[in-house]
Amino acid sequence: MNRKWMIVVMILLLIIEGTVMPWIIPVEWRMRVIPHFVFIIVLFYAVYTTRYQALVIGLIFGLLHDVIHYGNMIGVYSFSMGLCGYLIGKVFGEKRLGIGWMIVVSILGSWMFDSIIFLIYTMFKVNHMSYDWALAYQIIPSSFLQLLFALIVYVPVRKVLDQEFRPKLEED
Amino acid sequence: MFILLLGMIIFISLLGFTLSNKRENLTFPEKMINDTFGFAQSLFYKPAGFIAGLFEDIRDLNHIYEENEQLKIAVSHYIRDKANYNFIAADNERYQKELHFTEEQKKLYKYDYRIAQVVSVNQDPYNKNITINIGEKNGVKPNMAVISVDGMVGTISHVSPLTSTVKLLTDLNEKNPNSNAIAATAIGKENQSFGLIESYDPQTGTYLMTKIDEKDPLAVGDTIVSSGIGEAFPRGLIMGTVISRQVGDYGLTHTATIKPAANFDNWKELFVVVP
Repeated sequence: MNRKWMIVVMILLLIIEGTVMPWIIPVEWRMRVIPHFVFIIVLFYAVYTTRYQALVIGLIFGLLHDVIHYGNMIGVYSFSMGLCGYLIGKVFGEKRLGIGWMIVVSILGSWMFDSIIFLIYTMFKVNHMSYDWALAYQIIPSSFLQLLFALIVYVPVRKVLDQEFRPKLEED
Repeated sequence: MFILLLGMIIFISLLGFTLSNKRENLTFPEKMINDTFGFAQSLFYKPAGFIAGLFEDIRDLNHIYEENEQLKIAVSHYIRDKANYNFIAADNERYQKELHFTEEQKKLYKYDYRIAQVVSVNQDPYNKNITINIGEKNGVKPNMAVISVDGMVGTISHVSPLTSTVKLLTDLNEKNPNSNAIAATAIGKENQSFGLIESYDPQTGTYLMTKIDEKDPLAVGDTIVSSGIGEAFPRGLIMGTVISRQVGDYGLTHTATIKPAANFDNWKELFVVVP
């Protein structure tokens, strides 16, 4: 399995986010727990490959999400995914961190991602709720779903991403 | 640093440009992506819903007797009203003929309901929308009303040839540049009652109906329907029931809190109202 298949997997995840997940999440939590699985894969790219790759993949898949679910404006997810991918890559990237750090990264990353989205929608006067409310209502609950997903896919995704980089590291 | 600045400029202009609600026509790449993904998503959504539905059916088994009883009562009411309705409809037609209504005026309130399947749901709390599997080719246009079996759920915001995006009423907000208020009235008080459904409060899960006259007979428990005044929305679409009525912010008009009739949790079939 190589990098090309990751793209297919990410497109599948993008589809699953909008189709299967609304049925799996219990009714009471449906408005509060929002799956961002593609974003978690972007975080894996940021930590285990280079930050530039995370930036490009974040921008492309964010834009795809924006176009498919075009409601208010295009570019919100694209901007936030690209920026988060880059920043996380800048801080945590290329250190070959373990699963413990990945837990921290996925919680920190999803908090950052949701906060940037909140900020953009507030800036453009689409959202009028306070940040405290958003934090308790959806940002914290969804970060747990993101963490769960990150733990489930940790082993296979890391295997695929490391595979590409191992020969290069051995050369060094 | 320079590249970061350039990226910010590009993104902020992109966001601002796409924010305008006058941008109803999508470009070709957008339409293509929407239709391709719409097809792929429809392959996933229905089976997932079917499997989830199996479990739900078993859970609902207990309530089936109660529900049956209620339905029987509703049907008997319906049969009685139907006889009455036929007389009134016949009278109405006769009057229209005597008063020389034009063809256009006669067709004003004849709506066509197109059935649509949901193909995907976006759960983003600031941008809740769903995608349905009919589009331009089936005569869907932006700003048409979309209803479920229970009541109105939203309006069409963007149309591609084979799919279209529905903006949910949970996005209603008087401060949002993209949202329009809906003129509404109460069942049984159609000529005396008037108000605007302007916003949805996600904290309480209710609509706020504003600009109700002091002398308006609107009361708690009334069923609110769209009034069709202004002809932007069809008339007679069920919106919800009144929970409470209070004096508005400036003391001149009243406001009412309305519990939505449609539930925004489970999506299967929807109907697009084509005027």
